Amino acid sequence: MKKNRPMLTSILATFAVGLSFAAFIPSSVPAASNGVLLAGTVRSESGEKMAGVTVSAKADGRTITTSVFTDENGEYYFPPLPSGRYRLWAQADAFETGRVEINLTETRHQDLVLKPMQDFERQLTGDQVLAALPDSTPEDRRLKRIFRANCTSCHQPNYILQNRFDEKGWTAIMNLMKQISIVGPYLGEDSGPDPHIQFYEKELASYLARVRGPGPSAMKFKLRPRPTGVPARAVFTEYDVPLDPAVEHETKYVTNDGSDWSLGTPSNTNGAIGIHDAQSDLDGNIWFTYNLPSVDITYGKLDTKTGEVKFFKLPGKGGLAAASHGMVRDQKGIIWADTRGSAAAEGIGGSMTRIDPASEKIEIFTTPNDMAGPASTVDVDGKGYIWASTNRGAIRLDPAAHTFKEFLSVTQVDSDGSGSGYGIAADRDGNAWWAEMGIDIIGRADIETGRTSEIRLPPLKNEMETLSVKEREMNARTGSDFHTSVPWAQGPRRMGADKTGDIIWVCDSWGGNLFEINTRTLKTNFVPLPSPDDEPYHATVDSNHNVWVNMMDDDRIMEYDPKKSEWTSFPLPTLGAESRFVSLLEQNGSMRLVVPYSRARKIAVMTIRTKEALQSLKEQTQTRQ
Amino acid sequence: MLVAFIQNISNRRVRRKPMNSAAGVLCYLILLLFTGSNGSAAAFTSRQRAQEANPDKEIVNYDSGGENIRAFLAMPQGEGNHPAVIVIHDNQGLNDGIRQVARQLATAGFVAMVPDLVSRAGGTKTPRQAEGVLASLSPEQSVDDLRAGFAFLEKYPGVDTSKISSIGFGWGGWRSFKLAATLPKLYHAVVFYGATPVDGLENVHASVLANYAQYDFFDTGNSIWTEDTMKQFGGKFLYYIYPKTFRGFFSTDGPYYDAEAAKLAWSRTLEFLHS
Repeated sequence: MKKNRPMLTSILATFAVGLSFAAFIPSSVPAASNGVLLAGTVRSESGEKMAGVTVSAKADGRTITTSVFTDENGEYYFPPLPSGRYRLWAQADAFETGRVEINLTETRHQDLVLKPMQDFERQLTGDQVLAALPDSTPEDRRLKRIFRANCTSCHQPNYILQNRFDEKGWTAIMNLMKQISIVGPYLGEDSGPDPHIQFYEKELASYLARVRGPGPSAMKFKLRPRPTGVPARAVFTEYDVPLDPAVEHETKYVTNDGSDWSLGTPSNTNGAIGIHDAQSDLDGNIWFTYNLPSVDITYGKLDTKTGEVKFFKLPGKGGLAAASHGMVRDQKGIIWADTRGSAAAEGIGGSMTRIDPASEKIEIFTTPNDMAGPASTVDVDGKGYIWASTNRGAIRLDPAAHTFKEFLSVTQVDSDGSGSGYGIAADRDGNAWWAEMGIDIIGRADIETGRTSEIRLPPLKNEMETLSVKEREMNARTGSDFHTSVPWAQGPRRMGADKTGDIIWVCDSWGGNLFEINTRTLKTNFVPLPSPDDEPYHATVDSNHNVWVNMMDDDRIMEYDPKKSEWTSFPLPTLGAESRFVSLLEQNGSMRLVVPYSRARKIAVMTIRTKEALQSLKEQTQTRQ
Repeated sequence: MLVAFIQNISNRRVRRKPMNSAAGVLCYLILLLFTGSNGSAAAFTSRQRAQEANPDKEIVNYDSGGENIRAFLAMPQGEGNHPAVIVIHDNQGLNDGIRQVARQLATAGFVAMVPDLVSRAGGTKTPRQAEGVLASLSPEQSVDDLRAGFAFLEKYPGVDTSKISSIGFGWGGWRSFKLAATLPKLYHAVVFYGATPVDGLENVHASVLANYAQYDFFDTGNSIWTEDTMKQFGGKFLYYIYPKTFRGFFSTDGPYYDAEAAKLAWSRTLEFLHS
């Protein structure tokens, strides 16, 4: 732990933020507060009313898409929409997209008919694709696990498996993938191949050609149920975030934003992806981080009334904007985030930023040169201190004194890999917890004693036992990181603290479970996700102690009710969203869930209508017809 | 003899043994105090002896496809022809640490040459400058410069042309291995915590020794695949993993210097090069 130091650099940095600018403002039309009602019924071609169908509407020239789901009678009811000309479409797995263009000037009832689709594999989400991989023999089960551990952490399984290649083709893809960095650039032949991919390349190419080659596939697709009950009452408002204008040469071919499932999973890369964390401010506008290299973008602000997006740039290094990753809103409504590659940071340090949503003023606080800088995620504890994970533990920023304290992980590296910090959660007592994802350790800073401790997660022994001695040795030597793993890793990635309770919920990405830690008794428990193929990413906890988890691979939000030990699945309206974060804003008895889409470059707000509110909407619709 | 030696241990995962007594550790630390901290990790022969081994001019120049490559050369004492080693620096360029490695090799009886692979951009000035230049050079270009260095040594007086080897550290480790894959006449190749070339291992004629750091997960993780592939092509590959060490454990001026591991690696390296 380091001593407090005055943060003089923050004063200078405040002036540097004068370089912030609005980089892009799309044309948009303000939303009406009391708009036009739109409802209808979705039927199959054979005339059956279809429940749980995703119905989306987007006005011409606008950047906002609203989506609802049909109820048990196949009926859908949009919240009031601004008048205008709309594209309206309905989607369900294994059905062709039903489309219609409408002029919405007064309450309208628009029915849609969906035709069955024969070749629907490209429509499917990652969990369905992963579940379809054969695993009935020990050998297939082992290869499926290896595929999951090495090919599904930077992008979804469907990103890859929507395609078919022969063995030569899959080998060519792996030859590239084993030599690129996490953000995509080819590292050069002298960087050496990723050891996991290199070791398994031939086996994986053969397996993938067998299950996803030109010939008959061994994949058995089982469609997941369409939403009913509470998830069917959800309303998603999705906001397009403009492509990075500085890399038009890379983005000019981006045509798929996941809105039309029949186009398959978006395979967008640089300039079209990069949105990471997002937080609503107390006025309902949304701030977000941007974690890929960009000339202009460090943060963004979305005006949820108009859809306008404004980019902010903090000076980075090498002519780039500083990148960012983690973001949190404190009790006063101030947004805190980290930056990477900030020009203000020297030595091994990094920077935290304070964003005042009202004034849009951004202040930078830089860690001392001998202190590790923020690595990836941030949180606020119950006493208002701001925490960030680092590559060797955690730091705590005193927002009043502008000073940092550092807490070092007990184990920084071991035979399983590097203990770089990833997710962090701070509890209401002022302690912090962070994930050392590569080595299956949860670090803990005890604020009263100033000491750190750790909790070690047990390995998945059943996965270990499927491996040969040589495989185990290779995996042990290579270890895990944030994106490839040994098959027996739990992979604690990100986490959320129950701010009105005493539980930390850790998302074990590869273990497919939530790891529950009682912050006071230190008792722990594993809560498995409904399917072993589920891969939780980040968690946030509401005031009712329910846990909300974004499933990066699945295009779903999962809610876990600890009182009932029940999971509820909320499907997103976009295929290939690849969300890496979820956050909440609870105000006046209502809750808004914010879900940034990393790959599909949108930000979604999910609200859930009560039965009464939906009934009222039905009655209004019928009255006005 | 070398073949037998390698066959004997190539299938074993040889781990460093810890020093077995506190007294041994103490003696070793005292020795370190006398050898200083700014030389190579091979400073178990004194720096003075190493420098005595190379009293002559230390800079040579050779041509590589029309480009002048500047190199540091350390000659051993004694008459006649000596085996030679091309020493390939890491991404910090030609610095005092790598010069000291060359001097230690000269002390051990080798003609040791360190090409400055920053030569195409005016030569090494600072570690940061070197790192920037080397990152922009194509890997093939640097390997071409090493091949030209091999040709230069073949004609250099006092070199046993049948025993010209290479040794590379980190960034230079891949290049040492790659040199073996593209230069059939290379005698031995030593890799210190470097990547294995993905292609061309079927062309490796040289015997290869790799010294890996346990916590250099990426390169060390490829050790089994490398061993299997070399064996598949009939190549000679021997490697060691040094427990609880990081990439750079041999570099005395780096943050990950590990004296005990460096000493062991160096003794193994000299034995290998002499075999």
